[in-house]
Order: sequence, then C-alpha cells, then structure tokens
Amino acid sequence: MPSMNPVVLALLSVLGSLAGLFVLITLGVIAWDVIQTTREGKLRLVSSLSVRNLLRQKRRSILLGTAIGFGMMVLVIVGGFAAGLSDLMLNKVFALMAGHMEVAISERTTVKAAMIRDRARIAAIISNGAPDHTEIRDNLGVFSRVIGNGKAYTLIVIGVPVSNVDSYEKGFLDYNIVAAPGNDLWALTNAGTCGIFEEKAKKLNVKVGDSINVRFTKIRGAYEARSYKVGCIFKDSSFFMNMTVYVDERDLKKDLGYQPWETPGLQVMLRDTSKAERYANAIHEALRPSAAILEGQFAGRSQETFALAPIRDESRSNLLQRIALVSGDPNGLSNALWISEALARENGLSVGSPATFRYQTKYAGMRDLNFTVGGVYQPKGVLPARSAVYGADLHHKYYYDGIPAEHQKKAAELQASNHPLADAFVPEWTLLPRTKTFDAQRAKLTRLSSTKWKGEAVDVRTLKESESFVLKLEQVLNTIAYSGVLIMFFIIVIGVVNALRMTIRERTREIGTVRSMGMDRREVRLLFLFETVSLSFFACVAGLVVGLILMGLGGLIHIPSTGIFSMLLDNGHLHFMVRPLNVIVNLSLILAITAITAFFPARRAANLHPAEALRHTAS
Amino acid sequence: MKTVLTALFASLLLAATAAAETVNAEFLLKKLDLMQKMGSDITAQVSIIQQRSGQAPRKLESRYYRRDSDDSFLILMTAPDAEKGNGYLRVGDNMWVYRRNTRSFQHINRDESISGTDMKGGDFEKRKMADLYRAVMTNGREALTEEMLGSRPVYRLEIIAKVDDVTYPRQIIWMTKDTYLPLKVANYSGNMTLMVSQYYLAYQTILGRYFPLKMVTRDEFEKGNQSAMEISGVDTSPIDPRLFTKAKLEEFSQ
Repeated sequence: MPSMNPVVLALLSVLGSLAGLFVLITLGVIAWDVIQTTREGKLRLVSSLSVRNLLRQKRRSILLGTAIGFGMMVLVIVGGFAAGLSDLMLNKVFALMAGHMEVAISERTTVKAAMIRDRARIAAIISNGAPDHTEIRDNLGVFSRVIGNGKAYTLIVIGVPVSNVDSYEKGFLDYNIVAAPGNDLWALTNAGTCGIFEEKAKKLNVKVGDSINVRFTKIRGAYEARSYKVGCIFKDSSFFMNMTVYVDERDLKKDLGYQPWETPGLQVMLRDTSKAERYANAIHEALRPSAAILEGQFAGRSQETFALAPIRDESRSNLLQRIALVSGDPNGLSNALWISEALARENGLSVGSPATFRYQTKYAGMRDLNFTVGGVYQPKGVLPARSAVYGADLHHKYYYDGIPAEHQKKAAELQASNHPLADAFVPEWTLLPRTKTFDAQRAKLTRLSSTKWKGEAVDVRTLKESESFVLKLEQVLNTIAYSGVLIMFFIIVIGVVNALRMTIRERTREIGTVRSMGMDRREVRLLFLFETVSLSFFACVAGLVVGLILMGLGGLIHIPSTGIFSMLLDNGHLHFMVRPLNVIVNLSLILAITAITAFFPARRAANLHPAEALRHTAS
Repeated sequence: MKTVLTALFASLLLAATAAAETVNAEFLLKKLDLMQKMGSDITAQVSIIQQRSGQAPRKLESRYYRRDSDDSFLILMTAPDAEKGNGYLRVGDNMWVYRRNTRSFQHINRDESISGTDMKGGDFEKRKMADLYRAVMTNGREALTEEMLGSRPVYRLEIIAKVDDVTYPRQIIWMTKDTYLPLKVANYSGNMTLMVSQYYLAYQTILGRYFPLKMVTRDEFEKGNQSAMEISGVDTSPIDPRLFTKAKLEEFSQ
C-alpha cells in the first residue's frame, strides 16, 4: 500500500479531530438540553408535541422516513450478508479445514515437510492447554491429481478415522457431509474405498464401484499413485467441500510416508471459540522446547550411559571457551563427535576411531548412530565427566528419525534451563512467536523461508489469526455498505435540513405563540430535534424489520450453483447473520447524524424572538 | 527427473573403454554420474514446450549457465511474459528463486517445482545416481539385461532407490551398449505404477562430449500430458564468476 504524504496525513488528522470535536460538542449540548428539560419535568410534553407535529405532516414524514428506513435496511442486509459470509468462511469452511486452533510443525532436513514426530506428546500438551476441546484431529490431507473415467482434477484427498465406529457418522455430520440418495456412508469403511461429492463424481464420470486413480507427493518428495474404489457419493456441499475426497486415514498416512505415531499437524475444535486465543497462548507456552539431548552408550564397548548433546554451529566458540579440547580439530565439530576424556579412556577411543552410539527411541526400539570421533575434551565441570557433543548438521540428519524415549535422567541434567551451555545446545524445535493476524503470520513464515534453517519450526495459531483476512473481507463489505449509505444519507441530510427549514418557516407564528406561553428556547430546540430523531428512530426500526424479513426470505431461496459463486452459499442458500452490536451501532449512527443535522435549524427556530415570530406572515 | 538433468548437461562417454570393463549396475550408474560432470563451463538456451491435455501448449524459454568447479548454476527465464525475469540461482548447497514482480529471493527446497515444470529443486543437486539407487535383485541377480530398443542394442537396467527422498523410487533405464547413453527412462512410484517416461531423441558431440539436445517427457499417469525439451546454443566458454550472484541475477531480470 503506498504511504500517504505526511502533510496530507496531518491535515486529515486535524480535520478529523475538528469534526470529532464538533460532533461531540453538538451531542453534548443536545444531551444537556435533554437533562435540563427532564429535570424541569417537561420532557414528556415536548416529546408528545413532537409526535403530534410529525403526524400533522404525514406526507413529508412518510417520504423522509422511507428514505431513512431504506438506508437502515441496506445497512442491515449488507451487514448481515458480510457477517454471514465471515461465519460461513470461518466456521463452515476454514474451521472444518484447519480447526479452531492448530499446532503445525514444519520440518526441514533434506526436504521440507509438515511433520509432528510425536503425535501423542503434542496431543497431550494440547489437551492440557485447551481443556474443553471437543476434538483433536490429524490434519491429514494432500493435494492430488485424481483421474476417473473422464477428466482429471486436482482435489484434496483427506484421511478420516473410519476405524472409529462410534464417532464415524457424527464426524461426517459435523462436516455437513451426507450421502447422496441411494448411497451408504458406511461403505467407506470397506478397505480401499473413497467418498466423493456428486459434482466431482459427475465430472470424473465415476459412479459407486468405479475406480479413481490418485497421484500425490509423499512427504519426502517421491511421487506415489494409488487406486481407490468409489464407495460412497456425497450430496453436493459448498465449493470448497466439493473439492475433497475422503479415504481411510490409516491408508493415507502410510501412503504419504508417515509412521503411525507421526502426523502432519494437529487441529483442535473447541466448544467455546472465544477461548481460542487464551488456549493458544497456553499451548504455546507449554511447547517451549528442551535441549535435544540423547542418552545412551557406545555399542560393543563400555556399557556406561552418557548424554550426547548437539551443539549449535554459532555456539562452537562458546563451547570451546568452557571446555578444553585435548585433541581434534576445533573447527570440525559440525560433522563430528567429540567425547570426554573419561569416555575416550573407558571405551578405548581416540580421534579418528569409529564409534556406534546406541540409544532407546520412544517408538522404534534401540537405534544405532555411527560416528567417527573428531575430538576429545576435558569437561572442566561444565559438562558431565562422561559426556559427548556433536555438530548440528549430524543432529539434523539423525535426531528426527528416532526421537529419544522420555524421562532419561542424564539427558535431563543437561536440559535444565540454567545450564551454562543451555543456549549452545540445539533445541528439540524452534518455537515460532505467536502472531495475531494473517499478514503477521505470513511475514513470519516468509522470514523463516528466506533463511536456510534446519530442524523443526513449531507454530501455534488460531483460526481467527490465520484467517483474519476473512474478517477483513467482512470489514471491507461493511465499509462499502457504509460508504454507499453515507452518500445516501448526505442526500437525506439535505432533505432533513430542507424539511426543517420549511417546517420552521410554516410554524414561525406557532413558535411565537408557544414562546409567549412560556416555553423556553431549550424546549423549542428539543421540540424540533425530537421530531427528527423520533422520525429517524421509527424509520430505522421499520428498516430493520424489513431488512430482517428480506434476509429471511433470501435465505430460503435455493440457488443451484456448484461454481465459484457457491463459495458464498451455505448448502445452496445465502447465509445471513445479524450481529446485534452492528444493528445498535447502525441505529446509533443514523440517530446521531439526524440529531446533528436537525440541531442547527432547531436552534435557529428557538432563537426567534417571540414578538417577531408572532408578527410573521407567510409570504 | 534426475535423468533429465543428466541429459541436460551430459558429458563425455568414451565408447572405446566400454568393451574392456565389466558391465554391471554399479558400472552403469557410475557412467550416468560421469555424464553429469562437466569439464568446462556451459551456457545454453533451453526451450520447453509443455502440452497439457485439453489445454493450449505452453512454451517456456530460459538461459542456463552452469559451472561445476564451484557447483554454481543459474537459470534465467526469458519467456513467457509471466515467467520472464524470474530466475533460479544455485551456489553450493543454497538454491534461491528470484521473483521479478516481488523483487525477492527465497530459498527453494528440493521438492519445489521449477517454473511449474516437472523439474524440482533437488534435480539440480550434485547427488550421484550410484549413491541414490541400486539394482533391483531378481533371484539373486541384478535386473540387468541386454535387448533391442528399436534398432539399437541397449542395456535394460532396473533400479530401486536406496534413500527415501528421490522423486521416483524405481526406474528402468535403457542405455546404449556402445556409448552408455540413456535412450529411455521409465520412472515408477514405490508401488510400481509407471508415472513418467523420458525419451532422449538426439545427442550431439561438443568438445568430444555427448550432449542431449532433444528429449521428451511423457506423463504416463495422466495421459496426454507431455513436455518436449530442446537445447541449443551450447557454449563452453568460461563464465564470469560474478555471474553466479544474487545481484547479477537481479540485474539480468530487469
């Protein structure tokens, strides 16, 4: 977005401030008038006279009220459509695709992949951080080229837990997915079957029992192809939902190259979405990583257990200042293993010796890592007497394929946050800072991708943060509506001013009479103000009612569209949503505009001298 | 895709030495690796015509600069207009994509596509076929046979990936018996679905090296899709080392 000239910006600020001050003063004067008149017990008299005057000028009141009511109706309908669109996108599309909250881990070693290595651990952290979640589900979907008996399409193949019989049907209902007539949702539980929406089945020219061929890329970049039999055809849903194909998540996970304990990402559905940000912050806090320490022993040598710590490249000099490298190349840590003197002595190792480090993984049993000893050091009390360190490059190559078992005592010693080398150890993952908007999130990820990072990057995000552009879209629609209505109101304002001027002119002698009978200037001012404001109020209420009726009727109409327009529809219907706060704001805005507009002609009427007003004759 | 790259910058194969050596999978894979080693800097014009089923052909043109002595590579897109000015730069282990419209560089991953083609970032890495693949063993013997491909006597070698980060876990390669030049490569997924076939239609000797000038890649999964690559204007003159820099790529793209 181009930046605005600072002088213009300053000028606009000054003008805006003056306009705001003007509005506040005017409304303040009106409020003061109302308070004083109420104190004097004359408010009822003034308001009843106002209503009577309104009824005396029926045609003028109806025409002016219709214009104001129309403006209110437009605001209500556009606001309802914008809010409905946001609700549709956020809660019926993005929430189903991304959950109310998401923990995403990008792993970058040889290739970049979405990867949570320890699903159970992260799911437990989520479960603790978001106690009233309704579901924690795997974000298991892949863009795929799908070929049927007709054209090929790029669709999203999604894994669903078909083995979970208890929640199977509910899972689909939550997504608003129902079987088309003559189809059985449960057919998807048969091995090698898939479910597809009517529209895409038609385009691919497949029916139940036919096969579709699917091509996708595995997490390590290899192409994979497989065939599914169409088990169930679903009734068409939204534009986005129609792009999905459902298969057994166990098959898809395996085909994509994930182990049973791994997952691409975890999505969380909440009972109360207003708590999402608080929960996300709590989960983010709980995801602070420890140092990625391994604990094991050298295979075939001394069975003494020791901790093996990965050192960041940039922390090598820090390490060398705290330990004493007895032998080996001080610059060669990145791809080497350095061991303490005690380990070297007990295991008969020296620089250049091959050594196999064996440790217990959490899920894949014992694992051997082959090293060549690159250095021997004196720990000097900073590291345990029996310890070893190795470079970040080797860590990234080895660690993630065999995450260590938890609760290992010697590893825990080095994982203490106050350890003098805490900042030098490579952490389990990099925790990305929380971001509040889609733009900030995108900027964060762009910054990350512009560097050649390796390891795992963990991001915790809520739906509203990730998809804040949807809320922006709602704001844009509302702004467009306000702009249009304000232009209309500018015309209405001219009408109000003109109508009041005519009224004052017609009723000058009446003003003189009531002033002679004891009505003071403030009450005369309020008389005219109340006329306009009460007209606006009743017109707005009528506009609101008509708007609600039109939205109700609009929502009943079925629009048969499967194209891009169907993005705006909820199962073929327009989706409106009334936000009470928006209605109150709109109503207040219109009343404020009309009150301010009416104030000055009303003041002019009130300032007329009673004797001159009585002498006034209509020319 | 590795083989496409191999083909792009194929190097010398000395036919005379072939007869004296034992031909097995390792030998043939090393021959393919040898083809990737360039004795000199290379500059070439590369044209790719992509044909997608039911769509108009799309022609991509680019200028390639390659120097193996420091593992540098630069691709500058020259057509179509949507791609013009974009570029890819590789220096050592780093590979960036430069987008002209945003004037920004981004690291590119091994599995990311190059200009929407079948080529990926990883295809430009100096990974050796012999390190990535081994022969498929059938009854304790390597799946290596001799047969005729059209009128040419060839070796038919079936290989399987040793690592999990290759584009195609299985391949069958047909290589000429006399010069060990690949004529056809069939690329399979892990479950042996034929995904892509590559055909090498023309070679030319430049400074005593065989250089593939024309090749066709056929999508066997989605029939009707194919791309034809043609290389021209091959120049082996030394390239200014300053060319393989971000600044130069940015300057070129203007």
